[in-house]
Amino acid sequence: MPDLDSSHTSGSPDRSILGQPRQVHLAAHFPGVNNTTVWSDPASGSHIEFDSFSHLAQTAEAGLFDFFFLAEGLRLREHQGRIFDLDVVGRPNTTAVLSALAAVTKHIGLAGTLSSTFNEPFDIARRLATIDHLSNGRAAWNVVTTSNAFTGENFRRGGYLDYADRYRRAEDFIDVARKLWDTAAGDGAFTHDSDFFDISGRFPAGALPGGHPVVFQAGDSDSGRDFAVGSADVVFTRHSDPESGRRFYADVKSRLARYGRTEDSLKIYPGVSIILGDTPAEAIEHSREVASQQVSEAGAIAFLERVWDRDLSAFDPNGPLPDVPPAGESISQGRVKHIKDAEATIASWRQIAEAEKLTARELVIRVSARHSYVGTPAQVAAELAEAVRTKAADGFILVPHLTPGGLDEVVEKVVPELQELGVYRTEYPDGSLRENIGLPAARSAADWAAARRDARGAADSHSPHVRELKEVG
Amino acid sequence: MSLIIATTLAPDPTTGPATAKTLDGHADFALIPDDLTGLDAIEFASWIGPLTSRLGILPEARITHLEPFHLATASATLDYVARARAGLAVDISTTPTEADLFGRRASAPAADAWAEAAGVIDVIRRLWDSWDDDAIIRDRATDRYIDRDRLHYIDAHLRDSTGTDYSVLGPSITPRPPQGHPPIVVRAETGNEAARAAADLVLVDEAAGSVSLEDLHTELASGAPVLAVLPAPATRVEAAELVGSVRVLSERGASGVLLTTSAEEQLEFSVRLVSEIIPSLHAAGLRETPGAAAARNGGGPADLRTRLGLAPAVSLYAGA
Repeated sequence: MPDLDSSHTSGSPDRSILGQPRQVHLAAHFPGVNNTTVWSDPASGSHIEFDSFSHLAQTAEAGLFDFFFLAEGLRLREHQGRIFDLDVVGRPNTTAVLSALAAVTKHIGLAGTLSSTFNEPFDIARRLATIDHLSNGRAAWNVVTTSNAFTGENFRRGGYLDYADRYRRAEDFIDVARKLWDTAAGDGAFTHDSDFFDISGRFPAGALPGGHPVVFQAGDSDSGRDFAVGSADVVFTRHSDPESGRRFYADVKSRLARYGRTEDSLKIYPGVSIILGDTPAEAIEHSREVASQQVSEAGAIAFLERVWDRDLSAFDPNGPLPDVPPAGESISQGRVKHIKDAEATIASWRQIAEAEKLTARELVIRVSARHSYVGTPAQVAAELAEAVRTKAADGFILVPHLTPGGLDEVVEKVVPELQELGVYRTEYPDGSLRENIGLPAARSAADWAAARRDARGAADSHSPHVRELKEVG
Repeated sequence: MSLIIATTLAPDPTTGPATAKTLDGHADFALIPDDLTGLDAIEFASWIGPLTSRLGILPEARITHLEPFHLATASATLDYVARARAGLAVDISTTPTEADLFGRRASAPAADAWAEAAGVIDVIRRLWDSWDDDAIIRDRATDRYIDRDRLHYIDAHLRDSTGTDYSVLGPSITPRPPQGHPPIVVRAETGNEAARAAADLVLVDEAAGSVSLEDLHTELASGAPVLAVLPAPATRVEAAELVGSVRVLSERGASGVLLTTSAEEQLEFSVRLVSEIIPSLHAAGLRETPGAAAARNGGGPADLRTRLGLAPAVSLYAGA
């Protein structure tokens, strides 16, 4: 590492005399299949050709980002019983893209979402171990659980898992994977017999360069937070604004000690968007334009239909909000529902729309397409540094709205500003993704399980009916 | 006359890239074996994709304990990252040892596992075809990214090797791969007639099994090319003898050979293959030179189907 203090002696007021200020970490999210991603812009490229993935990963690597992140699709989304056609549709297989990216990058972490529900531990552990070997220790796994029968229609197992067992099974799944990675350092022999899995055999020998692939978790509920603290290295959170970020950060980190973990052993990365301009006014104008692209007329109605849970095609997106009550049936499949109380949400939207004289589409833009950081490169850099300094985040997963060039400008303009502030590295550290992120060495599967038992005591004892689950075809 | 020349490529991160780069532009494809004791072949193949530009890449997958949906999207993705050079070698798991790794169901006799494999091959093709080539329309007038009428539910019903029914609804999450159908390879053995009839390319190891080139010649209505599996020659003398063996196999109906080697020997063998064996085959008139092949393809690299002499894949949903 170069000596940042000697090259930046101007001294910001945040600088602690005891050491360097808290460092900002960045990561890149490949644009997803929702209306954040703009496909109508002339600059929008392919969402499936490998060049798009390599461009974003290599751009992020040029910006010394911690990792590249790829979400997973297991069933196309549906709306009113038909495939939803207004957003980007179609994605590659997660691990195949990460393996290919290992060939065209050298330092950046390769993180992907993989469901613990529609995969088997041996298969997932071996895929991730393979990526870790091919990339010299850069593999990471965002563990999600999927409980719906909708997605299950593409898989042998179908949809079967009780909500209550989702996290227990996922924890067990991660334990198995870590146990297999532990055995890889020896002869690979393993057995695991639990409520959910009964497997044995030999895992491919050869210690993983990264020890264990880095484990991500994205749950937000109370049990989701305990799951993260009990099993994950990184939390990917939706709390992108600094204020709610600080609350989330403090809550999650406060749970760590009980699990025998230090504050530095679990990193928190909100997903954020950045919109730049040469002046503050230009940035605000640019943000307006992008928001308008993100919410098309048809997209605005579809958005409202997901909240109202009824067909609203008779309403004009450029007229007032629909003057009908919500229906309360789910017309959308394959998405996580973030709005729990439709009646209250709609009431507050009516107030906003009335007070600000907004059309339906303008209201959707106002409530759904807000960008996290809008400003000049120097402004955005200062705000990111401030969010990290005040513990709203350890780093940020940047979600661009364009493929593949959506982070070009951030890397070109914001990264140098962060370096100027002394809060961003100027070269990659030696080592694996753990060093990129600043995580301690991997601890064994047995240590993770023991820490969870100690933390939770008897509360984690077996429920009687789960024994049946692993018998299901 | 141009015989297909292929080799195995063990998923060894140390010798794999150099071996693949040596073979690139000379051999037609590399088959990456996967017996579940080493690295995952599909991941390894995806890594080799961007490191090469002409070599066909066919990972093996023992599909008995895997998900057809994941296999379809992973192989389609491989075809994107390898720019139309992907294939898939479909095999089965029959041992209790392999079943215990997954812990999902008991092991089953080969006949039952192959019966399922034939169905899985059909499901994989249907998932590849579940997006028409022109499904992405980006129509700003109607704000639609896709034309959903050009996507297809496959609604396939299968029976696994232990007799349990399951289904795969589709469509795939991944748009149709560049080749439409990356070539599917099956090794012929007693009792897998249905699976090999569903393949684009069939392998036969006459020394190991009871199926002969003549059997396949009469049996395969599709006229799929058949490659004879031979151990890679270990010495210069054996390499010289190979030309004669290949000529005899060709006269008996083989479209080419798959030469099997090991992780330890593959790099050295790849050098011998491209510097001695393939030039000898050119000299003997058994294989056209890379220049002649390129000229036939208009100069650019051909997709793997073309290299193997396979017709472009017509979608199972064409006209649907």
